Amino acid sequence: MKTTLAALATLTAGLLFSAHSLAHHSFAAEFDAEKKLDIAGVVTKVEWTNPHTYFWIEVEGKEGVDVWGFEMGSPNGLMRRGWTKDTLAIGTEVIVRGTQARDGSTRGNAQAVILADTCTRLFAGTSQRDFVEDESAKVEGCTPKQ
Amino acid sequence: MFSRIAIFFACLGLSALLWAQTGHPAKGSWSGNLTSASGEVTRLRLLIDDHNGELSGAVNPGRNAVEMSKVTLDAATWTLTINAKMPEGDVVLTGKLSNLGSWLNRKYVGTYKQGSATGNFDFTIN
Repeated sequence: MKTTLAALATLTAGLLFSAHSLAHHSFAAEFDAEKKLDIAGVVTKVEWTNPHTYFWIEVEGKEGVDVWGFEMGSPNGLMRRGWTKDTLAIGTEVIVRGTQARDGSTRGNAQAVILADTCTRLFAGTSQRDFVEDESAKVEGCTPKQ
Repeated sequence: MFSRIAIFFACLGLSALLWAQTGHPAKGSWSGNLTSASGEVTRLRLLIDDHNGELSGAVNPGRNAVEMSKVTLDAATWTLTINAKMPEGDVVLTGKLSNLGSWLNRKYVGTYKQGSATGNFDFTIN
């Protein structure tokens, strides 16, 4: 009886946390710090999930529209950096600075997100260990639209 | 006793799946193209919300968003009709929702009318 209950409890816990475990990984395993990205687009989707928050943007390319997906830090880490759930509303124009996935796909790890309307920069809680969040650094390559 | 505990764990395990339900099939962020009869392609984004079955939303959400003036769904045929007063003229999108159980490949496909212009559209949920 006790063994069965313990097995049930373990199975349930495994089911509940498997998605979180799969989503957690080292930066270097997935992203290439040498592949710098500086890319502008419009937010189409945001997922506030643990252990990482994700968002997607549409980017006008030479041959149509590309969809890029970006990983950020945890929701809690972002909120400590000034983010709210409304910061990246659908349709927000952003400039994303970060690094690309090792496989060359349209996925990346965001170091900072710049809101194009105001040129407000928000650090994205990257798991890249050697990235320094320098609040005093100028926000370059952005002209406020409002 | 044992069966009650087993049911408890089963409910706990299934709760993760229940959290994943998203509600109204039209609700969400959609991206796609309008293709006019002459072949001109216009990229559009739609943001549709649901308030107790009453649909509303915006075309191209963001700084230049245009509020949808009317959104109706015929659930019997999954036909979604969207009216919006675009700067280029009033537009009516009439199409069917499909792949309703899909997270990433839910479709909204149909035809549009904008003034005398007509064409097709094809949206996918983001």
